[in-house]
Amino acid sequence: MPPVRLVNLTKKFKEVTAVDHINLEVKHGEILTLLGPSGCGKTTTLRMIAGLLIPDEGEVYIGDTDVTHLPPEKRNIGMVFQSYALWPHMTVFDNIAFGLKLRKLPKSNIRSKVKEVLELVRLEGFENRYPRQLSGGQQQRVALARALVLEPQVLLLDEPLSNLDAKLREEMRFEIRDLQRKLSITTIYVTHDQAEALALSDRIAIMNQGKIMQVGKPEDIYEKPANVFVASFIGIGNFIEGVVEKIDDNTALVRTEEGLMLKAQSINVTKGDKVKVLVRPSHIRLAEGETQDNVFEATILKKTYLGDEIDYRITIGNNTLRMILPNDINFKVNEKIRIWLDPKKIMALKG
Amino acid sequence: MNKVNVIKKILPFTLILPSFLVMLFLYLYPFALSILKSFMDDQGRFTLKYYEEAFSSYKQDIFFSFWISLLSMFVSTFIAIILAAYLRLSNTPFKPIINSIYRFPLFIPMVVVAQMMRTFLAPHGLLNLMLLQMGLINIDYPPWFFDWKGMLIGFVWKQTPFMVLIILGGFQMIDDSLIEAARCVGANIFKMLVNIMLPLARASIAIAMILIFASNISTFTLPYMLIGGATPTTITVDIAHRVTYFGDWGTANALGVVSYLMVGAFAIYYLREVVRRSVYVQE
Repeated sequence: MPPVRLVNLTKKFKEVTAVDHINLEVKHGEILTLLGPSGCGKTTTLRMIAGLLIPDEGEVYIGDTDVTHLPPEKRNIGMVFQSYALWPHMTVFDNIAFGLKLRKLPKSNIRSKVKEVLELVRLEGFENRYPRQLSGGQQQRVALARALVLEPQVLLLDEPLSNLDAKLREEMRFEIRDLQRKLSITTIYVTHDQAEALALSDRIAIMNQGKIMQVGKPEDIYEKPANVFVASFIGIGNFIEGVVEKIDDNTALVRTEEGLMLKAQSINVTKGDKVKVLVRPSHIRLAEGETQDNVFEATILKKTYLGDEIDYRITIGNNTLRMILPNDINFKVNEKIRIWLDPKKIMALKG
Repeated sequence: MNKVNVIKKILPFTLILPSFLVMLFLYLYPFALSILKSFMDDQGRFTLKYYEEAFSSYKQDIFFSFWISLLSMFVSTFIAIILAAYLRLSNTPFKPIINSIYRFPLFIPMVVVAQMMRTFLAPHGLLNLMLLQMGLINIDYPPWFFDWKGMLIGFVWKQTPFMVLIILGGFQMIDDSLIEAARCVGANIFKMLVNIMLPLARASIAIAMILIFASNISTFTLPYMLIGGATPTTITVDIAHRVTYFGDWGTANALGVVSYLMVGAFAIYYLREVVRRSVYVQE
């Protein structure tokens, strides 16, 4: 039995369908990220798993129990909120111990459990502080400890790092990742930050307009996006529009409006489809030699110095592409160059 | 310090001066005078005879005023917390209906409440007829409500909505996530209410309690119309008797001071409790 299973899960807010017939299985001990732009339904989905929202349709299973209509307190879940949600009138100890006290554990047992979990989040000796006496990062760790101390079947994290500054956010990413690995606790993590998702997920579910667009490992999502939305949401993407002329094995031949011919990996496309060819900046190379496919003449339109790299905007026919090269190759604006788009990497996706 | 600075310092005070003067003449002056008069005999000499009279004739009424005000306050607080919690947490279709009807008693003057209670609680009034229908009483010997029981019902009916208003305000200051976090660690609604919402809204609840206690103890119309001169009655009725039938302002003032003291002591006790236990609110 997978620890969490969503079946046809649907939630409407008046006329708006926030979550639209979602099916998803979370595997034991993995960290799965729900990633998407704001309003895509990721937080709504998480809140339905937690029991803070009741779905209009579909079921939520935790383990083999249908918990769809159980209140949150009966679900054996741990939840970490974006705002940390520590109770301001309780000390760190009381915040963490509250759930244990509700379970009527003996006092000595509670004390040792709280101590243990505070060591785990590296906050030993903070028992008697009030939340207001802690920094944002420390508050977040207490929130994590409060959820973990109950040894829940599933840990749910709702944008837990978005209130922290950039540097701390990056540190906490790895901390959460390590902690999750160490405890091998099944975790569902909601974020809109793709870098965060790529860094800490075993699998990512990309959501848009209440639907799951793709579920997969970070590298699959990045390298084999299922559609244009996923490709544009994760990483930097250039798109060249065209029509599929021919398919050979997994290679599509795409003709653009102005007649350029591109060879690209075909992902779920067939002959005659209108497609967008995804070209990541790293897929653009300077051409060497004469006779290869996918070699085009390009013009430098604009350049931005980024330190180690230079970010160029180049034009091929009517298309403007973003190209990033190391700073030892320095072209001038309006210079004409020859580029090669690696046909094993660029992808024809259904528009 | 130059002239401009002096004017700058004084100017803010001149702005509050009109309201301060109104307070002084309409409130503080008569207040101080009533205290002063309670210690002065006809010739203007210091005396404690009014207090002796107040305590010897009205000890029972002073006690009654205190405990009926306190009891009504506690019952109102209990009901108000439940109602406010319901209005804060519920999403059922009944909520808007309850939300609009609970305020109704706010707009009814106490004298009208007293009149309503007289008919509702009368020996053959609506309440007793209902109890009769349920087979709970013998109508030949109807239970008598024109005493503390009627006061309690009248006070609770009239005062609870005002408490809901204040306590609900306190509940609404609590972020949803604090409530949800408690549910997620296993607290049912009752445990969450007791451990999270009540402590966080402690200040609002204490203020509501003080205001209602003060309002209860100073109410005249309800005890006058329900109990009148029967024993025990409230200080307010005694004050009215003293003034209208005996022209005895001294004892009336002394009884007034006793009720100020009761409200004052209660308020100080409660506010100190709130401040003592809510260090976390500061900073």
